[in-house]
Amino acid sequence: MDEKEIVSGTESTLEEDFEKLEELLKEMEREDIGIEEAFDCYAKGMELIKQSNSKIDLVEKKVKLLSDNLTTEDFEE
Amino acid sequence: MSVYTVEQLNNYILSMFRNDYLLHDVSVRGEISNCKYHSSGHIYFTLKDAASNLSCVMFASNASKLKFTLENGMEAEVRGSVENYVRDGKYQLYAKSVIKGDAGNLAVRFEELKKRLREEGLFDEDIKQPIPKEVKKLGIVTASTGAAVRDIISISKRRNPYVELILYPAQVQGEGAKESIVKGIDALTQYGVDVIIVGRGGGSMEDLWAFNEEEVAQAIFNCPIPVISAVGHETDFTIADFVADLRAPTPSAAAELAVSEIGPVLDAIEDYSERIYYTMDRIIRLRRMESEQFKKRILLASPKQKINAKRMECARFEDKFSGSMQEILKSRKNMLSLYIERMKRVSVLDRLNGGLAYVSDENHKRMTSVGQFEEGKNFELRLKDGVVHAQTVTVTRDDLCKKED
Repeated sequence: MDEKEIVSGTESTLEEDFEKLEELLKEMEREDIGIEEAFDCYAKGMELIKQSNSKIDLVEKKVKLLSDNLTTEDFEE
Repeated sequence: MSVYTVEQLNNYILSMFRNDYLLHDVSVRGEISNCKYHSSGHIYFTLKDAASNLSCVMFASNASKLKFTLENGMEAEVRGSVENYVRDGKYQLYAKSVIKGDAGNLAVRFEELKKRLREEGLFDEDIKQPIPKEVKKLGIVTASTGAAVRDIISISKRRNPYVELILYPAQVQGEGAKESIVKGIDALTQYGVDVIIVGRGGGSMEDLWAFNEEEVAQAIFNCPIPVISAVGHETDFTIADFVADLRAPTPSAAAELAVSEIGPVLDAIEDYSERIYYTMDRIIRLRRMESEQFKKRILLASPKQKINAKRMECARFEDKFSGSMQEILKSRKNMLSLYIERMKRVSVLDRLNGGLAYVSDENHKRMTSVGQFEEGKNFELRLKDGVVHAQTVTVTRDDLCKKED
Protein backbone atom coordinates (compact mmCIF):
# COMPACT_ATOMS: atom_id res chain seq x y z
CA MET A 1 0.00 0.00 0.00
CA ASP A 2 1.19 3.47 -0.83
CA GLU A 3 1.34 5.12 2.58
CA LYS A 4 2.30 8.46 1.16
CA GLU A 5 -0.74 8.65 -1.00
CA ILE A 6 -3.02 7.89 1.91
CA VAL A 7 -1.34 10.42 4.19
CA SER A 8 -1.63 13.12 1.57
CA GLY A 9 -5.36 12.40 1.59
CA THR A 10 -5.76 14.26 4.88
CA GLU A 11 -4.80 17.48 3.10
CA SER A 12 -7.28 16.99 0.29
CA THR A 13 -10.81 18.34 0.10
CA LEU A 14 -13.82 16.05 0.24
CA GLU A 15 -14.37 16.69 -3.42
CA GLU A 16 -10.85 15.46 -4.22
CA ASP A 17 -11.42 12.42 -2.02
CA PHE A 18 -14.58 11.62 -3.97
CA GLU A 19 -12.69 11.90 -7.23
CA LYS A 20 -10.07 9.46 -5.91
CA LEU A 21 -12.78 7.07 -4.75
CA GLU A 22 -14.36 7.25 -8.19
CA GLU A 23 -10.98 6.36 -9.75
CA LEU A 24 -10.44 3.46 -7.36
CA LEU A 25 -13.88 2.08 -8.15
CA LYS A 26 -13.23 2.39 -11.86
CA GLU A 27 -9.99 0.47 -11.33
CA MET A 28 -11.79 -2.20 -9.30
CA GLU A 29 -14.45 -2.60 -11.97
CA ARG A 30 -11.80 -3.54 -14.54
CA GLU A 31 -12.41 -7.06 -15.87
CA ASP A 32 -8.83 -8.21 -15.48
CA ILE A 33 -8.02 -6.79 -12.05
CA GLY A 34 -5.96 -9.12 -9.87
CA ILE A 35 -7.11 -9.94 -6.37
CA GLU A 36 -4.05 -8.31 -4.74
CA GLU A 37 -4.56 -5.17 -6.80
CA ALA A 38 -8.24 -5.14 -5.89
CA PHE A 39 -7.44 -5.50 -2.20
CA ASP A 40 -5.00 -2.62 -2.49
CA CYS A 41 -7.73 -0.45 -4.02
CA TYR A 42 -10.17 -1.61 -1.38
CA ALA A 43 -7.83 -0.69 1.48
CA LYS A 44 -7.10 2.72 -0.05
CA GLY A 45 -10.79 3.35 -0.62
CA MET A 46 -11.76 2.43 2.92
CA GLU A 47 -8.97 4.65 4.26
CA LEU A 48 -10.26 7.55 2.13
CA ILE A 49 -13.79 7.01 3.44
CA LYS A 50 -12.45 7.04 7.00
CA GLN A 51 -10.62 10.27 6.30
CA SER A 52 -13.66 11.83 4.61
CA ASN A 53 -15.75 11.06 7.66
CA SER A 54 -13.15 12.48 10.00
CA LYS A 55 -13.07 15.69 7.94
CA ILE A 56 -16.68 16.29 8.87
CA ASP A 57 -16.61 16.87 12.58
CA LEU A 58 -20.07 15.48 13.30
CA VAL A 59 -20.72 17.62 16.35
CA GLU A 60 -23.27 20.41 16.20
CA LYS A 61 -21.60 23.74 16.90
CA LYS A 62 -22.82 26.61 19.01
CA VAL A 63 -22.70 30.10 17.56
CA LYS A 64 -19.84 32.05 19.10
CA LEU A 65 -19.51 35.75 19.69
CA LEU A 66 -16.08 37.13 18.88
CA SER A 67 -14.77 40.10 20.83
CA ASP A 68 -12.07 42.59 19.84
CA ASN A 69 -9.48 40.79 21.97
CA LEU A 70 -10.25 37.61 19.97
CA THR A 71 -11.89 35.76 22.85
CA THR A 72 -15.18 33.99 22.21
CA GLU A 73 -18.28 33.25 24.21
CA ASP A 74 -21.46 31.38 23.37
CA PHE A 75 -24.00 33.52 21.56
CA GLU A 76 -27.45 33.45 23.07
CA GLU A 77 -29.70 33.21 20.06
CA MET B 1 -47.61 106.87 -3.76
CA SER B 2 -49.00 104.92 -0.82
CA VAL B 3 -47.25 104.91 2.52
CA TYR B 4 -47.29 101.66 4.57
CA THR B 5 -46.55 100.80 8.11
CA VAL B 6 -43.41 98.76 8.91
CA GLU B 7 -45.56 95.79 9.84
CA GLN B 8 -47.50 96.02 6.59
CA LEU B 9 -44.28 95.97 4.59
CA ASN B 10 -42.80 93.10 6.53
CA ASN B 11 -46.03 91.11 6.08
CA TYR B 12 -45.91 91.89 2.37
CA ILE B 13 -42.35 90.58 2.19
CA LEU B 14 -43.42 87.46 4.15
CA SER B 15 -46.16 86.72 1.63
CA MET B 16 -43.70 87.18 -1.24
CA PHE B 17 -41.31 84.66 0.41
CA ARG B 18 -44.15 82.24 0.91
CA ASN B 19 -45.28 82.45 -2.70
CA ASP B 20 -41.79 81.83 -4.03
CA TYR B 21 -41.40 78.35 -5.47
CA LEU B 22 -37.83 77.94 -4.26
CA LEU B 23 -37.92 79.58 -0.85
CA HIS B 24 -40.87 77.64 0.55
CA ASP B 25 -38.95 74.34 0.37
CA VAL B 26 -35.18 74.55 0.05
CA SER B 27 -32.09 72.63 1.15
CA VAL B 28 -29.02 74.58 2.14
CA ARG B 29 -25.56 73.17 2.88
CA GLY B 30 -23.17 74.86 5.25
CA GLU B 31 -21.35 74.76 8.56
CA ILE B 32 -23.29 75.16 11.81
CA SER B 33 -22.23 77.96 14.10
CA ASN B 34 -23.72 79.97 17.02
CA CYS B 35 -25.77 76.92 17.87
CA LYS B 36 -28.10 77.46 20.86
CA TYR B 37 -30.51 74.92 22.31
CA HIS B 38 -33.30 76.98 23.94
CA SER B 39 -35.15 75.72 27.01
CA SER B 40 -38.34 75.80 24.94
CA GLY B 41 -36.83 73.05 22.75
CA HIS B 42 -36.20 75.33 19.78
CA ILE B 43 -32.72 75.39 18.29
CA TYR B 44 -31.20 78.59 16.99
CA PHE B 45 -28.09 78.50 14.83
CA THR B 46 -26.34 80.10 11.92
CA LEU B 47 -25.49 78.24 8.76
CA LYS B 48 -22.39 79.63 7.13
CA ASP B 49 -19.88 79.08 4.43
CA ALA B 50 -16.71 81.00 3.58
CA ALA B 51 -18.60 83.97 2.14
CA SER B 52 -22.01 84.15 3.78
CA ASN B 53 -24.20 83.57 6.83
CA LEU B 54 -27.84 82.46 7.17
CA SER B 55 -29.91 82.62 10.38
CA CYS B 56 -31.76 79.42 11.11
CA VAL B 57 -34.30 78.26 13.61
CA MET B 58 -35.60 74.78 14.27
CA PHE B 59 -38.76 74.61 16.32
CA ALA B 60 -39.14 72.06 19.08
CA SER B 61 -41.63 69.94 17.10
CA ASN B 62 -38.98 69.33 14.42
CA ALA B 63 -35.98 69.41 16.77
CA SER B 64 -37.39 66.49 18.75
CA LYS B 65 -37.15 64.29 15.64
CA LEU B 66 -33.40 64.91 15.25
CA LYS B 67 -31.36 61.79 15.98
CA PHE B 68 -28.17 63.70 16.70
CA THR B 69 -27.10 66.88 18.38
CA LEU B 70 -26.26 69.90 16.31
CA GLU B 71 -22.79 71.17 17.09
CA ASN B 72 -20.78 74.14 15.99
CA GLY B 73 -18.45 73.32 13.11
CA MET B 74 -20.67 70.48 11.90
CA GLU B 75 -21.21 70.22 8.18
CA ALA B 76 -24.92 69.95 7.61
CA GLU B 77 -27.59 70.06 5.00
CA VAL B 78 -30.64 71.91 6.34
CA ARG B 79 -34.03 71.67 4.70
CA GLY B 80 -36.89 74.05 5.36
CA SER B 81 -38.52 77.27 4.24
CA VAL B 82 -37.10 80.77 4.16
CA GLU B 83 -39.47 83.26 5.73
CA ASN B 84 -39.51 86.80 6.95
CA TYR B 85 -39.73 87.26 10.71
CA VAL B 86 -42.18 90.16 10.81
CA ARG B 87 -41.33 91.38 14.33
CA ASP B 88 -37.64 91.89 13.53
CA GLY B 89 -37.88 92.33 9.80
CA LYS B 90 -35.31 89.57 9.42
CA TYR B 91 -35.50 86.63 7.10
CA GLN B 92 -34.36 83.25 8.32
CA LEU B 93 -34.42 79.58 7.46
CA TYR B 94 -37.07 77.65 9.36
CA ALA B 95 -35.45 74.21 9.50
CA LYS B 96 -37.64 71.12 9.29
CA SER B 97 -34.84 68.52 9.02
CA VAL B 98 -31.06 68.40 9.19
CA ILE B 99 -28.80 65.86 7.50
CA LYS B 100 -25.37 65.62 8.98
CA GLY B 101 -22.20 65.97 6.95
CA ASP B 102 -22.62 66.16 3.30
CA ALA B 103 -24.72 63.04 3.55
CA GLY B 104 -27.33 64.82 1.54
CA ASN B 105 -25.13 64.25 -1.38
CA LEU B 106 -24.97 60.51 -0.81
CA ALA B 107 -25.87 59.48 -4.33
CA VAL B 108 -23.16 61.71 -5.77
CA ARG B 109 -20.60 60.48 -3.26
CA PHE B 110 -21.61 56.89 -3.98
CA GLU B 111 -21.05 57.32 -7.70
CA GLU B 112 -17.77 59.15 -7.17
CA LEU B 113 -16.37 56.51 -4.82
CA LYS B 114 -17.61 53.69 -7.04
CA LYS B 115 -15.91 55.23 -10.06
CA ARG B 116 -12.66 55.84 -8.21
CA LEU B 117 -12.46 52.39 -6.59
CA ARG B 118 -13.31 50.75 -9.91
CA GLU B 119 -10.47 52.66 -11.52
CA GLU B 120 -8.16 51.61 -8.68
CA GLY B 121 -9.04 47.99 -9.48
CA LEU B 122 -10.86 47.11 -6.28
CA PHE B 123 -13.75 45.61 -8.23
CA ASP B 124 -11.66 43.57 -10.68
CA GLU B 125 -13.22 40.17 -11.28
CA ASP B 126 -9.91 38.38 -11.72
CA ILE B 127 -8.69 39.21 -8.21
CA LYS B 128 -11.82 37.96 -6.55
CA GLN B 129 -11.25 34.92 -4.36
CA PRO B 130 -13.38 31.84 -4.91
CA ILE B 131 -15.68 30.86 -2.06
CA PRO B 132 -14.44 27.53 -0.66
CA LYS B 133 -16.91 24.66 -1.01
CA GLU B 134 -16.18 23.06 2.31
CA VAL B 135 -16.54 25.82 4.89
CA LYS B 136 -15.92 24.70 8.46
CA LYS B 137 -15.73 28.09 10.15
CA LEU B 138 -17.99 30.86 8.96
CA GLY B 139 -17.33 34.41 10.13
CA ILE B 140 -20.23 36.87 10.28
CA VAL B 141 -19.93 40.64 10.65
CA THR B 142 -23.37 42.09 11.36
CA ALA B 143 -25.56 43.32 14.19
CA SER B 144 -26.11 40.71 16.89
CA THR B 145 -29.84 41.44 16.85
CA GLY B 146 -32.26 41.65 13.97
CA ALA B 147 -33.39 39.55 11.05
CA ALA B 148 -30.04 39.41 9.23
CA VAL B 149 -28.15 37.48 11.90
CA ARG B 150 -31.15 35.26 12.63
CA ASP B 151 -31.52 34.37 8.94
CA ILE B 152 -27.82 33.63 8.50
CA ILE B 153 -27.70 31.42 11.60
CA SER B 154 -30.89 29.48 10.86
CA ILE B 155 -30.06 28.84 7.22
CA SER B 156 -26.45 27.85 7.97
CA LYS B 157 -27.57 25.42 10.66
CA ARG B 158 -30.27 23.93 8.50
CA ARG B 159 -27.80 23.28 5.69
CA ASN B 160 -24.95 22.08 7.85
CA PRO B 161 -25.18 22.04 11.66
CA TYR B 162 -21.50 21.08 11.88
CA VAL B 163 -20.26 24.42 10.59
CA GLU B 164 -18.88 26.68 13.29
CA LEU B 165 -20.43 30.17 13.22
CA ILE B 166 -18.35 33.03 14.63
CA LEU B 167 -20.29 36.27 14.95
CA TYR B 168 -18.60 39.61 15.35
CA PRO B 169 -21.39 41.82 16.74
CA ALA B 170 -20.90 44.95 14.67
CA GLN B 171 -22.60 48.28 14.71
CA VAL B 172 -23.99 48.52 11.19
CA GLN B 173 -25.42 52.02 11.11
CA GLY B 174 -24.89 55.44 12.64
CA GLU B 175 -21.79 56.96 14.14
CA GLY B 176 -18.93 54.46 14.40
CA ALA B 177 -20.52 51.86 12.12
CA LYS B 178 -17.76 51.80 9.52
CA GLU B 179 -15.07 51.49 12.20
CA SER B 180 -16.99 48.65 13.82
CA ILE B 181 -17.39 46.77 10.53
CA VAL B 182 -13.68 47.17 9.73
CA LYS B 183 -12.78 45.89 13.23
CA GLY B 184 -15.04 42.90 12.70
CA ILE B 185 -13.36 41.96 9.42
CA ASP B 186 -9.93 42.31 11.04
CA ALA B 187 -10.88 40.35 14.17
CA LEU B 188 -12.32 37.44 12.13
CA THR B 189 -9.24 37.45 9.89
CA GLN B 190 -7.00 37.16 12.94
CA TYR B 191 -9.23 34.55 14.57
CA GLY B 192 -9.14 32.49 11.38
CA VAL B 193 -12.28 31.55 9.49
CA ASP B 194 -12.90 30.11 6.00
CA VAL B 195 -15.35 32.74 4.76
CA ILE B 196 -16.68 36.02 6.11
CA ILE B 197 -20.22 37.30 5.53
CA VAL B 198 -20.40 41.09 5.93
CA GLY B 199 -23.85 42.61 5.89
CA ARG B 200 -27.07 43.77 7.44
CA GLY B 201 -30.79 43.76 6.81
CA GLY B 202 -32.72 46.26 4.71
CA GLY B 203 -32.96 49.98 5.41
CA SER B 204 -32.75 53.43 3.91
CA MET B 205 -29.74 54.57 1.92
CA GLU B 206 -28.55 56.38 5.05
CA ASP B 207 -29.00 53.20 7.11
CA LEU B 208 -26.90 51.21 4.66
CA TRP B 209 -24.34 53.97 4.26
CA ALA B 210 -21.57 52.37 6.32
CA PHE B 211 -21.28 49.76 3.55
CA ASN B 212 -20.55 52.56 1.09
CA GLU B 213 -17.62 53.91 3.09
CA GLU B 214 -14.16 53.63 1.62
CA GLU B 215 -12.70 52.26 4.88
CA VAL B 216 -15.09 49.28 4.70
CA ALA B 217 -14.35 48.78 1.01
CA GLN B 218 -10.60 48.75 1.68
CA ALA B 219 -10.97 46.33 4.59
CA ILE B 220 -12.96 43.93 2.39
CA PHE B 221 -10.46 44.36 -0.45
CA ASN B 222 -7.47 43.68 1.78
CA CYS B 223 -9.08 40.77 3.63
CA PRO B 224 -7.11 37.59 2.85
CA ILE B 225 -10.24 35.54 3.56
CA PRO B 226 -13.02 35.41 0.94
CA VAL B 227 -15.77 37.90 1.78
CA ILE B 228 -19.45 37.62 0.85
CA SER B 229 -21.39 40.88 1.06
CA ALA B 230 -25.04 40.75 2.07
CA VAL B 231 -26.41 44.23 2.47
CA GLY B 232 -30.11 44.99 2.55
CA HIS B 233 -32.47 43.71 -0.07
CA GLU B 234 -31.88 42.38 -3.56
CA THR B 235 -32.26 45.85 -5.07
CA ASP B 236 -29.71 47.48 -2.75
CA PHE B 237 -26.24 47.81 -4.20
CA THR B 238 -23.42 49.12 -2.02
CA ILE B 239 -19.70 49.67 -2.55
CA ALA B 240 -19.16 46.64 -0.29
CA ASP B 241 -21.09 44.54 -2.83
CA PHE B 242 -18.79 45.60 -5.66
CA VAL B 243 -15.57 44.97 -3.77
CA ALA B 244 -16.62 41.72 -2.08
CA ASP B 245 -15.52 38.41 -3.55
CA LEU B 246 -19.17 37.51 -3.92
CA ARG B 247 -22.33 39.59 -3.59
CA ALA B 248 -25.32 37.92 -2.01
CA PRO B 249 -28.66 39.62 -2.64
CA THR B 250 -29.74 39.11 0.99
CA PRO B 251 -28.24 37.79 4.26
CA SER B 252 -30.22 34.54 3.80
CA ALA B 253 -28.76 34.08 0.33
CA ALA B 254 -25.28 34.72 1.76
CA ALA B 255 -25.70 31.81 4.16
CA GLU B 256 -26.79 29.61 1.28
CA LEU B 257 -23.78 30.64 -0.80
CA ALA B 258 -21.34 30.11 2.07
CA VAL B 259 -22.62 26.87 3.55
CA SER B 260 -23.15 23.85 1.33
CA GLU B 261 -25.64 21.21 2.38
CA ILE B 262 -24.02 18.40 4.34
CA GLY B 263 -26.75 15.81 3.69
CA PRO B 264 -25.70 14.91 0.15
CA VAL B 265 -22.04 14.79 1.23
CA LEU B 266 -22.76 12.28 4.00
CA ASP B 267 -24.90 10.27 1.56
CA ALA B 268 -22.05 10.25 -0.95
CA ILE B 269 -19.58 8.93 1.63
CA GLU B 270 -22.04 6.19 2.61
CA ASP B 271 -22.61 5.37 -1.03
CA TYR B 272 -18.89 5.10 -1.78
CA SER B 273 -18.41 2.91 1.26
CA GLU B 274 -21.09 0.50 0.05
CA ARG B 275 -19.89 0.51 -3.54
CA ILE B 276 -16.29 -0.24 -2.55
CA TYR B 277 -17.42 -3.01 -0.22
CA TYR B 278 -19.71 -4.69 -2.75
CA THR B 279 -17.25 -4.33 -5.59
CA MET B 280 -14.59 -6.03 -3.48
CA ASP B 281 -17.05 -8.72 -2.45
CA ARG B 282 -17.94 -9.34 -6.08
CA ILE B 283 -14.28 -9.57 -7.09
CA ILE B 284 -13.58 -12.07 -4.30
CA ARG B 285 -16.56 -14.24 -5.28
CA LEU B 286 -15.61 -14.07 -8.93
CA ARG B 287 -11.99 -14.99 -8.24
CA ARG B 288 -13.06 -17.79 -5.90
CA MET B 289 -15.26 -19.23 -8.62
CA GLU B 290 -12.39 -19.01 -11.05
CA SER B 291 -10.02 -20.71 -8.63
CA GLU B 292 -12.56 -23.48 -8.04
CA GLN B 293 -12.63 -24.05 -11.75
CA PHE B 294 -8.84 -24.11 -11.90
CA LYS B 295 -8.79 -26.58 -9.04
CA LYS B 296 -11.13 -28.85 -10.93
CA ARG B 297 -9.02 -28.61 -14.04
CA ILE B 298 -5.81 -29.28 -12.14
CA LEU B 299 -7.30 -32.30 -10.41
CA LEU B 300 -8.44 -33.61 -13.74
CA ALA B 301 -4.94 -33.24 -15.13
CA SER B 302 -3.16 -34.86 -12.13
CA PRO B 303 -1.43 -38.35 -12.46
CA LYS B 304 -3.56 -39.62 -9.63
CA GLN B 305 -6.63 -38.69 -11.57
CA LYS B 306 -5.21 -40.40 -14.64
CA ILE B 307 -4.44 -43.54 -12.66
CA ASN B 308 -7.90 -43.44 -11.21
CA ALA B 309 -9.36 -43.11 -14.65
CA LYS B 310 -7.33 -46.13 -15.84
CA ARG B 311 -8.29 -48.01 -12.75
CA MET B 312 -11.89 -47.27 -13.43
CA GLU B 313 -11.48 -48.37 -16.96
CA CYS B 314 -9.90 -51.61 -15.74
CA ALA B 315 -12.73 -52.16 -13.34
CA ARG B 316 -15.14 -51.58 -16.14
CA PHE B 317 -13.34 -54.12 -18.29
CA GLU B 318 -13.21 -56.49 -15.36
CA ASP B 319 -16.94 -56.14 -14.96
CA LYS B 320 -17.40 -56.63 -18.61
CA PHE B 321 -15.12 -59.69 -18.66
CA SER B 322 -16.56 -61.27 -15.62
CA GLY B 323 -19.98 -60.58 -17.00
CA SER B 324 -19.24 -62.28 -20.27
CA MET B 325 -17.46 -65.10 -18.50
CA GLN B 326 -20.52 -65.69 -16.43
CA GLU B 327 -22.55 -65.56 -19.58
CA ILE B 328 -20.32 -68.08 -21.22
CA LEU B 329 -20.34 -70.35 -18.22
CA LYS B 330 -24.05 -70.06 -17.95
CA SER B 331 -24.63 -70.88 -21.58
CA ARG B 332 -22.18 -73.75 -21.39
CA LYS B 333 -23.96 -75.05 -18.33
CA ASN B 334 -27.21 -74.81 -20.19
CA MET B 335 -25.75 -76.64 -23.11
CA LEU B 336 -24.37 -79.29 -20.78
CA SER B 337 -27.72 -79.85 -19.18
CA LEU B 338 -29.23 -80.07 -22.64
CA TYR B 339 -26.63 -82.65 -23.59
CA ILE B 340 -27.27 -84.52 -20.43
CA GLU B 341 -30.95 -84.57 -21.27
CA ARG B 342 -30.14 -85.77 -24.77
CA MET B 343 -27.66 -88.23 -23.41
CA LYS B 344 -30.26 -89.42 -21.04
CA ARG B 345 -32.58 -90.02 -23.92
CA VAL B 346 -29.99 -92.05 -25.79
CA SER B 347 -28.38 -93.66 -22.80
CA VAL B 348 -27.75 -97.33 -23.24
CA LEU B 349 -27.93 -97.90 -19.55
CA ASP B 350 -31.46 -96.51 -19.40
CA ARG B 351 -32.50 -98.80 -22.17
CA LEU B 352 -30.86 -101.69 -20.53
CA ASN B 353 -32.72 -100.77 -17.37
CA GLY B 354 -35.93 -100.84 -19.41
CA GLY B 355 -35.22 -104.43 -20.29
CA LEU B 356 -33.55 -104.00 -23.70
CA ALA B 357 -30.20 -105.53 -24.54
CA TYR B 358 -27.12 -104.21 -26.25
CA VAL B 359 -26.05 -106.47 -29.09
CA SER B 360 -22.45 -106.67 -30.14
CA ASP B 361 -20.16 -109.08 -31.91
CA GLU B 362 -17.32 -110.86 -30.32
CA ASN B 363 -15.18 -107.79 -30.81
CA HIS B 364 -17.73 -105.58 -28.92
CA LYS B 365 -18.77 -103.90 -32.10
CA ARG B 366 -22.38 -102.82 -32.01
CA MET B 367 -24.74 -104.83 -34.13
CA THR B 368 -27.91 -103.09 -35.24
CA SER B 369 -28.95 -104.98 -38.40
CA VAL B 370 -29.77 -108.63 -39.17
CA GLY B 371 -27.34 -108.24 -42.00
CA GLN B 372 -24.47 -108.43 -39.54
CA PHE B 373 -25.55 -111.84 -38.37
CA GLU B 374 -24.59 -115.22 -39.96
CA GLU B 375 -25.76 -118.57 -38.86
CA GLY B 376 -23.46 -120.02 -36.26
CA LYS B 377 -21.76 -116.66 -35.57
CA ASN B 378 -21.16 -115.80 -31.94
CA PHE B 379 -22.45 -112.58 -30.46
CA GLU B 380 -23.01 -111.00 -27.11
CA LEU B 381 -26.13 -109.66 -25.42
CA ARG B 382 -25.46 -107.20 -22.67
CA LEU B 383 -28.32 -106.85 -20.21
CA LYS B 384 -28.53 -104.63 -17.16
CA ASP B 385 -27.05 -107.20 -14.91
CA GLY B 386 -24.62 -109.09 -17.10
CA VAL B 387 -23.58 -110.46 -20.50
CA VAL B 388 -25.03 -113.40 -22.41
CA HIS B 389 -22.70 -115.16 -24.95
CA ALA B 390 -24.95 -116.42 -27.72
CA GLN B 391 -24.79 -118.07 -31.20
CA THR B 392 -26.93 -117.17 -34.24
CA VAL B 393 -29.37 -119.91 -35.20
CA THR B 394 -31.30 -118.40 -38.11
CA VAL B 395 -31.69 -114.95 -39.59
CA THR B 396 -35.05 -113.72 -40.74
CA ARG B 397 -35.32 -110.40 -42.37
CA ASP B 398 -38.52 -108.37 -42.07
CA ASP B 399 -39.35 -104.73 -42.59
CA LEU B 400 -40.86 -103.99 -39.17
CA CYS B 401 -38.83 -100.88 -38.57
CA LYS B 402 -38.31 -99.86 -42.11
CA LYS B 403 -40.54 -96.80 -41.85
CA GLU B 404 -38.55 -95.45 -38.96
CA ASP B 405 -35.36 -95.64 -40.90
